[in-house]
Amino acid sequence: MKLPAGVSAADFASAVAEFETAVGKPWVFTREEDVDLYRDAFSPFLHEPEELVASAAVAPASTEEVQQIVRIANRYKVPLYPISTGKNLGYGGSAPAYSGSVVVDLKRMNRVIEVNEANAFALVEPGVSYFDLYRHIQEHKLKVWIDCPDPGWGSVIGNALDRGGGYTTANYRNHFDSHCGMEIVLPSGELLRTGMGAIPNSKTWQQYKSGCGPWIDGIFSQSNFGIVTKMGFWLMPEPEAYLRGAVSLSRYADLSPMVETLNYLENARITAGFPDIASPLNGYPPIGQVQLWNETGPPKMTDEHLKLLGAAKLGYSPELEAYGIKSGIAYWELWLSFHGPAEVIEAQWQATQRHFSKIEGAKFRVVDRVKLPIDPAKADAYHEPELGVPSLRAFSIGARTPWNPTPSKGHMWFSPIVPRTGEAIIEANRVFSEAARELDMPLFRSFCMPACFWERCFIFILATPVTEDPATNKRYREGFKKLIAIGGQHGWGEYRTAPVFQKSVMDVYSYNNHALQRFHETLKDAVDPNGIMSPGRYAIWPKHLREKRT
Amino acid sequence: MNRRMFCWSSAAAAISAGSAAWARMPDAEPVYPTAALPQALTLPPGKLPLYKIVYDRRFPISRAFGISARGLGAATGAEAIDGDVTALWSNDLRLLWSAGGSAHSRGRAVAGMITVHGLLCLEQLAMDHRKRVLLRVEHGAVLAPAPAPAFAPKFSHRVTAPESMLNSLKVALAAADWPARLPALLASSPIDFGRPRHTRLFPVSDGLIAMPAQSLVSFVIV
Repeated sequence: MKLPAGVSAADFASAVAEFETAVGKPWVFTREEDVDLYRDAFSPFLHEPEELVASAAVAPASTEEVQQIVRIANRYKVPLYPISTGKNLGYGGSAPAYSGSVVVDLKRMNRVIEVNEANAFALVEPGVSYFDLYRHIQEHKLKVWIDCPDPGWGSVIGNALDRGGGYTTANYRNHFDSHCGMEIVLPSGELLRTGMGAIPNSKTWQQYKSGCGPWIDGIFSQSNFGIVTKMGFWLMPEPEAYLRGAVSLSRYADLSPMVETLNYLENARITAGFPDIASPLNGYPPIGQVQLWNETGPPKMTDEHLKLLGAAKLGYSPELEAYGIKSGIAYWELWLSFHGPAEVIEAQWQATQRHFSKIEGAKFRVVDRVKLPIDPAKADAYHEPELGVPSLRAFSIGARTPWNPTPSKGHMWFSPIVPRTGEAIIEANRVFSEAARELDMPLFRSFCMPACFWERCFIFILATPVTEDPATNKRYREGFKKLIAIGGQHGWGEYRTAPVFQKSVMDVYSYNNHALQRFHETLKDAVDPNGIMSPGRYAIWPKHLREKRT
Repeated sequence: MNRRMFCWSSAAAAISAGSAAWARMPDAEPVYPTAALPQALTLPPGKLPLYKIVYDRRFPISRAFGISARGLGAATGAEAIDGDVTALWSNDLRLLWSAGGSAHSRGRAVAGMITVHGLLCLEQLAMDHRKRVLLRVEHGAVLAPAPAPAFAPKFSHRVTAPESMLNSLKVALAAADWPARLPALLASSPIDFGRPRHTRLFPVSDGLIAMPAQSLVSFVIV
């Protein structure tokens, strides 16, 4: 067992005994085989002594038990690390940001407190997964959709608090933005409700987000200022129909006008579904086809095509473009989706085609036209999350196949936000492909397309593998940090990262002598003077540990 | 949320780099010598209360495993999947594991042979109910690079199991019909998490075994 630094064995034992009184002995875990369950399955410190590990774990069943745990932790200065379902693989998983912390496992708090169909909202506890909420909605035959990530095994609250995203329409894809109201156990053990929840017996807690006065919800995301024990979310009313259309463009130079047109259509709410950008000529599929590719293999390329790809620079050469035009392979393909009454989405698709027709040679086709609700048993004919259906099918990807001969032991996501322009796509490819070559990191070897989880920006997300070799992992970790710094030099910052990189990422946010970090630390000192809540999460250290971490 | 991005990158890299590995790979994986398949085995005296055996019907080796497993008397028999564990977990294992009782109870076992990532998924979900992978055998693990003699086998079975099982696993995995031998062996796993588990590599000799192109893993979750 790894004791928290600065906590004596006697104090730790006393804290554990009091945890057992608070939640019941069966729900306090100190045996190595039990605490091992909280290791990060994708730890970049695999087989290394620096791996971040917990000292123990405690699983409360209610908000009141969480409060008791926090008060006990304050008495003995034991650091805590709350997790919801602990499935944040690629961003740290269930392991604490500070080794020796006691994991507060919130999975037992798994009540779907309310799903209100008429006003399309849900109120849930942190242990509720997307599968749980989906099942609740199906069992009660409610006509609302969830928006979930892929895979859908994570916690609705956990994903939102780490500011994850999904695949349906813009206003629901940003999971933190779609929340409404929170309940938090503060580091003092006190209970706080935000927004309209701060009014006793509030009637609009899940209907009006900001309440009155400072809107503080954001400080509980990607932070360590409290443990969220309830959270409300706005849900999409079940649409009547779904249409997915594809726009194909044949020239490299079409990239920028394609993005500009997309931006207009999205900002004008002519299209609100998940925009999915592909480059068939570069062999880069839309997300909606990745599963198919994994099962059947990517489309076979001719020797000539492969040779032209190998010689292309930043995904381009005049010869490659000419080959694409001759062979009918699009340079760019944009998949757009529409949700709503059939007559409305057909009109939106028509308007979309009219706008894209301004780009010479644009071609259009309907990929899917679906009347809703869909039979859940048939959802796997589509990319399920775009239809609000959680899935684990993503785990059939990544196994060793002829086209993926060396699957890794896991991955770390490098995920900078870049501007929503065609120029930024090319620039990000240039910068990161050069960096990957210099750092000898297997990030990508072809032209990569960004993702559109968020409106108004792109996320340029790349996976760094975790291997079985500690020396390689160490090299990749150092390379990852350099990538973060390189991104920062270009004005691009990460949106989310694993604990091992949180300081490097937050160091990029350095405007005015790291004013943001200093503000975080001021808040931390005020609300958590004993520094017991997730020390180090997103580089926010309590005072007694701060000096050692700079 | 973005596992597809990783594999998207891998697929794109394989294609766009003009991946010779991809371009030259045979369309079909090596065929398992089905003539060597025995009839379904009867269950030797075992120690596991076996709930279900799972296998991936896409792979001949896993199919052979599954056929052999049918005779073991698992409570709900042997179930074939196509790589996607969603329905298996959501409609079945989730309910089994949720009914497991207190945090320290040991419910019935689930065993099988599926892909490495399929097991990763099931393992993570099983942990939510404090279930663990008791035993795992990764088939086709690539041996650590050398220096190795030219005739050194490229593939191995990487076994993580209680010490008491290592020798019998080694013998079984060296046999030509090893996929069919495994289910009964897995069903005889001792349930004792207190015993340390050991990891060993058992190399596969060329010509004796047809290794899968996919990385498959046999497992027991309790």
